[in-house]
Amino acid sequence: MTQQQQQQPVRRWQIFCRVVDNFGDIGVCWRLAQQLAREHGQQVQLWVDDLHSFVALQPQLNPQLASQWLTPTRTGGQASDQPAHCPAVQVLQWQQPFRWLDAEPQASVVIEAFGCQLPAEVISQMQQAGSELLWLNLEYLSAEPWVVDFHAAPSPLQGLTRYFFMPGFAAGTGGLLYEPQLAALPAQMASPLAFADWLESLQLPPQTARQLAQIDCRVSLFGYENPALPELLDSWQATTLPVLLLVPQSKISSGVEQWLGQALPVGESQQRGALTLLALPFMSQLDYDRLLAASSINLVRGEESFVRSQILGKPTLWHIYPQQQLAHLDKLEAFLNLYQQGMPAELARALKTASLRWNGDPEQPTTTSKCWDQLLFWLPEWQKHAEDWKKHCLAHGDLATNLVKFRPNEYSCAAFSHRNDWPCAW
Amino acid sequence: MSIVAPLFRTVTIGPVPGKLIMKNAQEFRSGQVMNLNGQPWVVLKAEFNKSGRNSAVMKFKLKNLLTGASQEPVYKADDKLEPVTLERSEVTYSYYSEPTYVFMDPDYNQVEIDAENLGDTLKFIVDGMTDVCEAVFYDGRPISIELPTTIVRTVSYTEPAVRGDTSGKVMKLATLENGTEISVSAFIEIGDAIEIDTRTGEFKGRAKA
Repeated sequence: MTQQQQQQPVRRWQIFCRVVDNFGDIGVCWRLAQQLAREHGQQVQLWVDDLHSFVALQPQLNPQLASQWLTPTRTGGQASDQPAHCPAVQVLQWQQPFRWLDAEPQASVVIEAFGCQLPAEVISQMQQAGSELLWLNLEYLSAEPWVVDFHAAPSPLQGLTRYFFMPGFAAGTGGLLYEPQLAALPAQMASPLAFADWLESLQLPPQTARQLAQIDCRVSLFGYENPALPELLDSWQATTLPVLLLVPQSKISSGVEQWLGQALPVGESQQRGALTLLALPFMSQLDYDRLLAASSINLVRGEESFVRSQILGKPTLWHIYPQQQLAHLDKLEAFLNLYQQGMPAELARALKTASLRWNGDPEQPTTTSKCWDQLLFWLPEWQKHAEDWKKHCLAHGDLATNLVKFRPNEYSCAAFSHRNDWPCAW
Repeated sequence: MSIVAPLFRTVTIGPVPGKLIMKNAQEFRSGQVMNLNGQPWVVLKAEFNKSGRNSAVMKFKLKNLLTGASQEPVYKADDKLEPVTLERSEVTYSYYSEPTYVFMDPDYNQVEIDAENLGDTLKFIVDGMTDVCEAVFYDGRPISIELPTTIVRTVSYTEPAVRGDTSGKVMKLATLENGTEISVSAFIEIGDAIEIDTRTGEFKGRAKA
C-alpha cells in the first residue's frame, strides 16, 4: 500500500459523469476515479452516460456492458507507481431511467461532476444515508479570482448539504488533477532516442521516427476546428527554426489537411518550409501524456490536457471551450494574468496576443506571424517560466488528495475564520 | 414578537400545497426570500459568475428571517429553489415598549416586532416619525420593518460647519435625535434636516424645505 493509502480511511465514492464534450468530462472523471483507487485505495464507482466516448480513452472498456470493473492504468511516471493491491474501479452505465444495476447504492462520498444533475434515485438514497455522506459538486477549472471564494462553499438542497469543490491554480482552491509522479515524465521522454522509440511504438517506421526525432522544436496540436489554424501554420512554415508539428487525430486534423491541400494519413509526414507535420493516431491518456512530455510547446484543447501540460512544465497554448458572450476570453485572460507574472514583458505580450487570437478574439490583430516569431525567439525563457509555474501549481497539492482530505466543517471554519458572518456550525 | 390584533390582509405564505413552484437560483434577487430546508432566508446579496461550458454559479449572502443567522451558500445557476412569497402591509411607527417596537397599520391594527429583528432599521427609528414603512410577514408573524428608500431626519448635534466648503466632499460626524451617528457633509449644521438613503445608511444631502 502507498503511504497515502495507509493514512486515509477507505470510503466508497460514486462519481457521476455526463459526457458533454467528447473526452473532456470523462477524461477528468476517469483520471480522478483511477487516482482515488490507485493512490488512495478508495472504492470507486464511476457512472457514465456515454460509454462510447469513454472507450476511446480506455480501450479495455467494453461499451456493451452496463457494469464492469477496470483496473486503473499506470500513470505516465515511474513504472513502479502501481500499488500491489490497487482496487479496481467499477464502471457503470448511467441509464435513463436510472437503475442501480449491480452497484452498491450506499456511498460515503458522491461527486456530481460539472453540475451533471444527479438522478432522483441517487438523491433519495443520499437522503436516507444521513449526515455521514459527503455530496460534492466538482466544478470546471477557472483561474478567476472568485473561485477561491466559492471553493468549499455549502449548498443546502433537498434536505442535504452539497459542497462546491473548485479546481484552481491558487491557494484556497481544490488544486489541479494530476498524479505526483507525472512531473517526472519529461525527463523520461527528453532524449531524441526515447522520443523515437515512442514514435515507433505508435507504428511509425523506425527510420522515419529517428529522422523526425532530430527536430528539436516539437509542437503537439490537439483540438477542435479552429479558423486561426492556417495563419499559424503559415507562420511556422516561414520561420527559420525547424518545427515538428505532432497532430494526433482530432477534429482539427481536417484543418491541417486542408492547409496542406492533401490528405495526411496517420503515421505519415509532410514538410512545408521549416514546418514538418506528422499525423499520429488517436491515443490513450497515457500516450497523450508522453506526447505532451516530449513536446516543446503544447497546443491543447480540454481542461485536462491544459493542466497536464502545465504539470509537465511545458509552454502551453489553450484553446478554451468557447462560451456565449465571449465569456471564455475573460477566463483565458484571468489565467494569463496569473500565469504571466514574472514573465519577460515581450514574451507576455506575444503569448497574450497568440492566445487571444487562437481563441477567436475579434479585437486581436489579423495575423499571428509576428507574435509566433517572438514566441519561438523567447522559447527558452518560456520553458523556464513554465518550469517555475509547474512548481507553483504543485505547491497547492493535487485535486484527488485534496478531495480525500476534504472535511467541510474543518475547512469552512479554518478558511473563513476571518469572516464574522461565516457560520462554523456547518 | 407577536401580533396583537388580526392583520388587515390575509397572509399567504409560500406556494399552494401540491403546486410547488420552483425558481432557478439565478432568478433570485436581493430582498427575495427562499425556503431552504424549511427555513425562510432573505437574499441580501447575489453574486453571479460564469463557470465552464456556458454554465454559471451563484453565491448568495442570506439571512434567516426567523433566527437572524446568516450563511453564504453557492448554487448552480439552474438549481431549483423554492421561493417564499411574503405578505407586506403599510405601517407607521407608534411607540416603543421594551423590548418591542409597535407599529400601526391603516386599520389601526398593531404590529409588534422585537428590537433585535429590526437590524439596521433600528438606527433610524425616532419618536414622532411619520414615514410610511412596510411590515414584512412570514407565516403570519411580522419579521421585519422596511423603511422608505429615503427618509428625513434632524441633526441634533454636529461640530460647527466648515466655512467655505460647499462641495459636500468633506465629511464629518453628526448625531441624530435618537443618538445614531452618521457621516454628513461639512456644511451641515445642528437642526438641519437631512436625507438618508436607508439601503446604504448613507447621507444623501440636505432635505429640501
